[in-house]
Amino acid sequence: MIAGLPGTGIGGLFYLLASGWMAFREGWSKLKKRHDLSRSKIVKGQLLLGLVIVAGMWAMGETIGRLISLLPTTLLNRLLGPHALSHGKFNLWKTSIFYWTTGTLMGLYLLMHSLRLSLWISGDAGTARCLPIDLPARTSFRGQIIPSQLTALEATRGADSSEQVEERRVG
Amino acid sequence: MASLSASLKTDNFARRVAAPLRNGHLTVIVPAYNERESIADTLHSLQGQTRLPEKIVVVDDCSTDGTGDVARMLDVSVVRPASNTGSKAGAQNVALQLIDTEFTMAIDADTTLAPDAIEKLLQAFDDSTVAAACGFVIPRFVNTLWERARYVEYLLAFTWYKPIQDYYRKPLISSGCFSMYRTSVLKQHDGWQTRTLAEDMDLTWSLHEHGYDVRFVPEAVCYPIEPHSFAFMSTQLRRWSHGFLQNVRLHWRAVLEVPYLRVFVMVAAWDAIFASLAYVVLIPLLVVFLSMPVLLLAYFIDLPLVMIPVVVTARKRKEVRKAIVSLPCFLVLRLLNSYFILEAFVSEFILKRSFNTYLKGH
Repeated sequence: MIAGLPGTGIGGLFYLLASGWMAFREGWSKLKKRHDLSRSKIVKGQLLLGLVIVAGMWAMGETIGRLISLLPTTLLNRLLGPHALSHGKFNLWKTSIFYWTTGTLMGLYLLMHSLRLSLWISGDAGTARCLPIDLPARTSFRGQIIPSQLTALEATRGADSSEQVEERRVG
Repeated sequence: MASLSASLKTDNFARRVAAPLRNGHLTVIVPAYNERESIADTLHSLQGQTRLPEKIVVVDDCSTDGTGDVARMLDVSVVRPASNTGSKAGAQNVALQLIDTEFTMAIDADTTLAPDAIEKLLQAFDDSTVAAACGFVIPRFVNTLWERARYVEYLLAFTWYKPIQDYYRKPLISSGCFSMYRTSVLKQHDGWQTRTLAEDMDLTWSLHEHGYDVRFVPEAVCYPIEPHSFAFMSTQLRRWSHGFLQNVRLHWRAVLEVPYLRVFVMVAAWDAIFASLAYVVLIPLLVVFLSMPVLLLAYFIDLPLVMIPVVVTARKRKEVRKAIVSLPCFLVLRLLNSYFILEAFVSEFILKRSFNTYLKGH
């Protein structure tokens, strides 16, 4: 199972920052001589991946910006508004996007801790609530069987039917 | 039942260590409902492991296609409840009552394992604080648009997100299709809960809340069958979306007290709702009302974020071409996923109509 919507929104920036924070923590551990080689390998890998992603994002913005700039001016103005690619700046990634995303992330972080504080004040911290799902769930099969998987079918040739085989029941 | 229970008793630990090809302290649960087509492959892959489990228990959840018959032919224990338990969690709990080995593994009946997957996963439990461990998930078949999309999604999540979550010892989910647990801890938590549609996420968050570690072991690879059609994918996405939001609603107070996990959950929930709103509502509206088709670039301007981790892992697996060809499919899946998350949000939080029917999907 995958939670939410991977590869989008503030999650992109957050995981980049998290990989940077990993490197900082690991560097600190090294200074304190609490170094763990296996963790260090993961940190290096993820940090490198993060740096390549940042470079890739920049290159993508720059490439698309330059391609768009090749369009006729009238069409360009219609697509992006007047003077959108002025001063020779082609990159579609604007610093304002970074500021907005960072701001949202920080706002959420503050909101999260405000929630914690309010729960702590109300004495309600850490208590889990039960979901109101009292009805028994029902299983139903929807979808199709992939016909290419015949191994099991072939294995059952000559087997007893389910009625003939004694079934072990629980309870 | 008593005889089965007795047969599941653990061996002497020293003897198990002395016999490297026989790992005597693990029981594998395979919940199955109408899985006749795929369960044999799953059982064969379990029986071909470099570290064999002591026992394999298939829970035939009142299948009507002879799933139990196939399993019996392959020399495993089969239990069949008196009536359908209603969910994968329910089926797994039936078997859990019978297990007294140190570790319990759950694997879907449509999932196969790399030959050393169990061996690799068990190594995570050398650390006594670890209560659960999960592995790398890669779709077994990558043919249709939906399978390709899921292939990219998994490569992204398990290459980029999950190792970072694991570094902080807070993986968001120990995947239900292939996870191993310390049995005592699992039983303390009354097994897998049926209160949400995502029992794996529910259990993972509960373990974090109680101070246990959950680990992600990328070397332990499993291969589930993923939805191959729109209808099947929709069913699964609907269940996952509702399951995620149900867990947020259920756990948010407790999760707030768990460092790192609270941030991972917060970011995931925010993106799930607001990025979905942007994809499904905001961007199309802006394109239409501002007459700026260039804004459609927003759907794929972040493609490097997806593409680079995917290609890195695909290169290791010598599947670069497959990964690149599959990338556009991911964008389609992301849009569909956005719709289902919004639908789940409206249903669970605004209309207060909780979706509680466990529709089976891969």
